[in-house]
Amino acid sequence: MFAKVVPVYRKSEIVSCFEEPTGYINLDIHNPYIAERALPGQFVMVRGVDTLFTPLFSRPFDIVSVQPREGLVSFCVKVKGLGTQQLARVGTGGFLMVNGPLGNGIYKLPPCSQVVLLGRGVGAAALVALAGMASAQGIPVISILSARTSTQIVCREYFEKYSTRIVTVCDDEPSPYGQDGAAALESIMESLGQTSSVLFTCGSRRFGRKVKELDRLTSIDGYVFLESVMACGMGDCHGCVVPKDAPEGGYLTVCHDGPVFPAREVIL
Amino acid sequence: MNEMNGVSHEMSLAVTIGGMVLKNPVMPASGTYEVDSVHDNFFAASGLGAVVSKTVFLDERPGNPIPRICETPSGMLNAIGIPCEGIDAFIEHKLPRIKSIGTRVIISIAGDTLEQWADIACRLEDTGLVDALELNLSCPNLHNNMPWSTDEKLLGRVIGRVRKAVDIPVIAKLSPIVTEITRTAQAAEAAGASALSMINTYKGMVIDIEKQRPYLGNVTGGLSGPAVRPMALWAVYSSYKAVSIPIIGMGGIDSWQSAVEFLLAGATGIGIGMANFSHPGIMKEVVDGIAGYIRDRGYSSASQIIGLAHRQ
Repeated sequence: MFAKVVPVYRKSEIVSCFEEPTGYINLDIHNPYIAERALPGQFVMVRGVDTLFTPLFSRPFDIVSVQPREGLVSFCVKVKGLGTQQLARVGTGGFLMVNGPLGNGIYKLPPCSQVVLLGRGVGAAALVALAGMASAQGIPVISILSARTSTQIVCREYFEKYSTRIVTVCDDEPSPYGQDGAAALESIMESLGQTSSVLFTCGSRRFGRKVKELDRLTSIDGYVFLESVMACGMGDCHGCVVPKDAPEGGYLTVCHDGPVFPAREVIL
Repeated sequence: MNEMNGVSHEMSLAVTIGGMVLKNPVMPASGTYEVDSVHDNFFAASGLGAVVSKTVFLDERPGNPIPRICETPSGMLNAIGIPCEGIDAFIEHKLPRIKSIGTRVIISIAGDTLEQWADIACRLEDTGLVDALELNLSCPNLHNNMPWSTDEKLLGRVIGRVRKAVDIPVIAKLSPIVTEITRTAQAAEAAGASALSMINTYKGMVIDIEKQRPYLGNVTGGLSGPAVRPMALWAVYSSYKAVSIPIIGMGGIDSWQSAVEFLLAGATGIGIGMANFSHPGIMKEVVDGIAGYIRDRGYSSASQIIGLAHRQ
């Protein structure tokens, strides 16, 4: 199900850059190597070109989509601190240093009759490529998108394109499922009955725990895409670990062993 | 002479550390560069002077609780706690691949007791695949958070025990968390160290003001990155005249220019740590940059510039 690609570290031009929704910058960069090889679930580490080492760490971003023929790679930046503000300022025609594709990607979906995605905030961006993969194989995709406000749903157009059904659950507006994505997931899964669904979530540890619970209590296979502060993104520093859910204990690196994990294998 | 940059045959980047000739001074600092296929496209690791492994312990260890890292101004605070698969698994699975790179192999080791230090050292030497050992006497996140090398007597005992146990060069990696590092350096030399690595990280902490508690799972961590470079450079500069064994300088080196500073201060080797995380091509750039500096100034070898900053 998972595979790695040997990454490259290259200066890459920003071909398109726009803000949507407010506070989120969508970037298309020209990087044919990554565009031709990246798999759903993989990410890139990005930094400015002439910024020397301020800030020190590169920033990890999930790859939203790739266009191999054009050599384009898209990702979404939530502008929050010094690093993301710096990247947001570069603009179209500017350059970024990009390392990728990193982490284990999904080259094959587990056998299933449908894929259910549960994304919170900018974490939903990590699920887009997977939705595209399922859709291309004719597998129905249910996307449950959650955010603090309805204006903060990211990558909405992609989800509309790939999903057979979209449910948005936001903290600021009522929905048939209330205002809690985890509760919405539970009730949707119940309504689906005994189907061979595969569940993926990203963007909230609480959602991750709900997926882990459903994985344990039902026949549904649950997977979590984890996000973390990272220094290297390549398994060198062991800074971004998650505790293993195994009798022997220990840790797994989010960047190198993940970022996608079967929910039963990690403690969230 | 140098595979990485195709410099002319009249110029040599080679340096000698503990009787071991390195094709150039540059190597990763321990724990910052894994030898695996993920790194294959950044540059050819065979062009490094040496590869230094993460610290190997006798038994498997999980590392410290999370969070383990924190970005600080021009620095990285880490309390990784050195996860390790244990010596047997390391020798079986990792060491052959490190050896296959085709450059010098330096294995970083640590023990909990004198006997463990000697045992690990012997087992690595017996493989015939290891060119030198680096004794991690200086991690601020181990050994009750007080590095071995902060106690000169203890430091001397560990180095002496390993020195007796093996014939390959023994490099002592020192902590800067001491009153006067030149004394530690002299104690390490007197105990039989073939070379010194300096410095390991400085102990520090960050407090999360929302949660009102220390940010790192281990409470304290080791600070590295450009923030510590002037202090690391001073440690190398001051120790250069105090000992006669070679020094591998490290601490916030993030460019060929800062590497040249360390050579001029008296370092024979150059360790690159944190910068490998942010800039995966950095070690090749440093090798090429040192070569350019030497060539442009008309020197014929890297060793000619070592310690030049001490000229009156």
